[in-house]
Amino acid sequence: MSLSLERLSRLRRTISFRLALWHTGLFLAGSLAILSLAYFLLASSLRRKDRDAILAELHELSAEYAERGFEGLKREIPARSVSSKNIAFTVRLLAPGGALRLLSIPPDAPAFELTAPAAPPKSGEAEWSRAPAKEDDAVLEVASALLPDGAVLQVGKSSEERDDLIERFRWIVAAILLPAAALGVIGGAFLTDRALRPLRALLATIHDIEAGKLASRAPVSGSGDELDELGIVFNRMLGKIAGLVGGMKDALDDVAHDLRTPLTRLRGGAELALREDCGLEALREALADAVEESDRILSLLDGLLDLSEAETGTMKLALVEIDLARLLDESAYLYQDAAEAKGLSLKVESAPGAALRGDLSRLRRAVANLLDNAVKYTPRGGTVLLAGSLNGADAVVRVSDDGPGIPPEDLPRIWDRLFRGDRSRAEKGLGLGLSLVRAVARAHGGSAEVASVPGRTVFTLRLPQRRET
Amino acid sequence: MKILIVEDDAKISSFLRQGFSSAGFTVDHAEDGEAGLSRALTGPYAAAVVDVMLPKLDGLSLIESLRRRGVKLPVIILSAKRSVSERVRGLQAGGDDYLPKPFSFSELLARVRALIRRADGAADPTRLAAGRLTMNLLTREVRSGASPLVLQPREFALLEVLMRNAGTPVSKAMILENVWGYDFDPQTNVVDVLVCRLREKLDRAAGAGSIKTLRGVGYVLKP
Repeated sequence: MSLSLERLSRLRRTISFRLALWHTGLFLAGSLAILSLAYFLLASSLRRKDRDAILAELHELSAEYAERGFEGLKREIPARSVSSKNIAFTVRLLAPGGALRLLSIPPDAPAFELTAPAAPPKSGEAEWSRAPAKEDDAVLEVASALLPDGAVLQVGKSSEERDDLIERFRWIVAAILLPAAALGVIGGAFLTDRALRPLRALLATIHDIEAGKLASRAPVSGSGDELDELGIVFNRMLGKIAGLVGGMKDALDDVAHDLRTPLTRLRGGAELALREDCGLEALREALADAVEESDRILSLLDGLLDLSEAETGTMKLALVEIDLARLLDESAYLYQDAAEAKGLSLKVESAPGAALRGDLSRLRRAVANLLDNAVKYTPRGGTVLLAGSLNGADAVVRVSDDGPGIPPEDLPRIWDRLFRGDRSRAEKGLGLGLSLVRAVARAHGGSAEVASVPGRTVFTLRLPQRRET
Repeated sequence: MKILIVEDDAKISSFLRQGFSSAGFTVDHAEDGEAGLSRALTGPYAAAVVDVMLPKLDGLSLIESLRRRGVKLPVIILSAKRSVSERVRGLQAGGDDYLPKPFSFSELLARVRALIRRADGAADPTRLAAGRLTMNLLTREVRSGASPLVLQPREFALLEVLMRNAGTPVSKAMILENVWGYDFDPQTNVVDVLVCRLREKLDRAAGAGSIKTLRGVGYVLKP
């Protein structure tokens, strides 16, 4: 048992842990994706901005060169670096043979590996190249253009400034992502914990039940979600099991209790016969009493077992197609002689062709029990009517008599196991008949009812014509 | 006629032995399934009474191995289980009849006799006779000596059971089953009522014998 508990709690831990992990992972991946996108957008737009600036400078310087020649360019460069919006460009002019004619490097710029272009650029368009810094990671991005006289003008801009911005952005990202990750972990753990709380409560309930607290039930929040429903279904199942166990326990208690009285009679009679110095005839009588009493005990035992089976819903019904009229005729046939001997008129009225699906042996018994009662309690000269009919989806069996009726105070209790009214004590019987009638009716999905006034007592047995199985 | 009883409970087997002996049978007794099987295979028996719960080899397996070896000995099963499925299991194993415990000995005796009659292949008699009483099962005529006896169908069925078992008691359960086809005991004594009526009719017809009530056992027709 402890092993399975350990496994269960390990499973729980694993599920919580995995869910939290998934939550955090997804949260981080999402954040990372958004931030990366922002990063790349930022980096590429910064780069485009730099390139635009370089190209603009290249065009202006080319125009200056075309207009005013080398000298003009030479004058223009220092002037621009002062006036132009604090953008520091590296400018180089190479003569048509490749010889350096001019090199202007901004004052704070790091040193770059400035090499001559491998091939002169084509005319008309700027050609891009990159020169790494000698010391750090910065890159000098260079645009080269062919001037009309064959010279090559190159304008470059260090990526330092851009790198600084991106570097700052990276720090911001880190500053956002770290708390976000922490939030993800905490949130995941919190959500998982909340989501699995009903499951843990259920587990606790199961542990309680295992520990013997059978009345323990899973708490239900009323939220109506799946786990709530699990709790409800679980509780319902426990209720059903408790009902079955309780029913069986009651049945066992009843059997034990109800067997004691007839066993006492059996034993007492036998013991008395043994003690007294009585004749052979008296001994035979005592033995006959003993046999009769043991038969009684046996039918009591069978009756109680049948009853508990039917009541706890464990009765197995052998369902067959039953002709209602025939069922009633057979039952009446059984009691015809008894009714005649008592001067009763026993009549049968039934709708021909009415059929139902049921356990023949048990329904016979139920109908016989009702007839048995009617024949027993209807005084000489009375009438007992056994009627069968169809009422909607139900087959209805009615047993009515014109006897004195059942006292109103007894009416609610006549179905109880082993209840015997004052009048019935005078008659033979076990007190199980009506309980069994109702139990059999219920096992068939039907019902048994009674209505009684002096002069007219009607027992009604309702049985669904088709029982869903 | 020899009969084999396979039953491990000493008291039950003792009363079975006594009962069958006094009914004119020779009785062999085995206390466990294996001994029962070897006896059933060696000796010629008219019938066997086999309990289900037995040491070494249970009753159903015993019957199954008998049937596998082609032994057609009529077997009646005794069992403490009363459910329908148990009965079906017993008959499927090859038993010829099934009687739940506790049972009335007269019923067991009647069933064993019926099994033996059936196994002997004797055609079902068309006429029964007991003392001066005769019954024609085809024409459904009953006569006491030469004078006819007019009986209702239920009275006829009751007398038939009693005459088939003339001289030995017939239990209430057997009458319920044979006359009405019911397998339970209604609390109102319908059997008593019918017996009383038949008894009166027999008493009125001189020399037709009489039905004795044996309290706790049943009813017996004394010619």
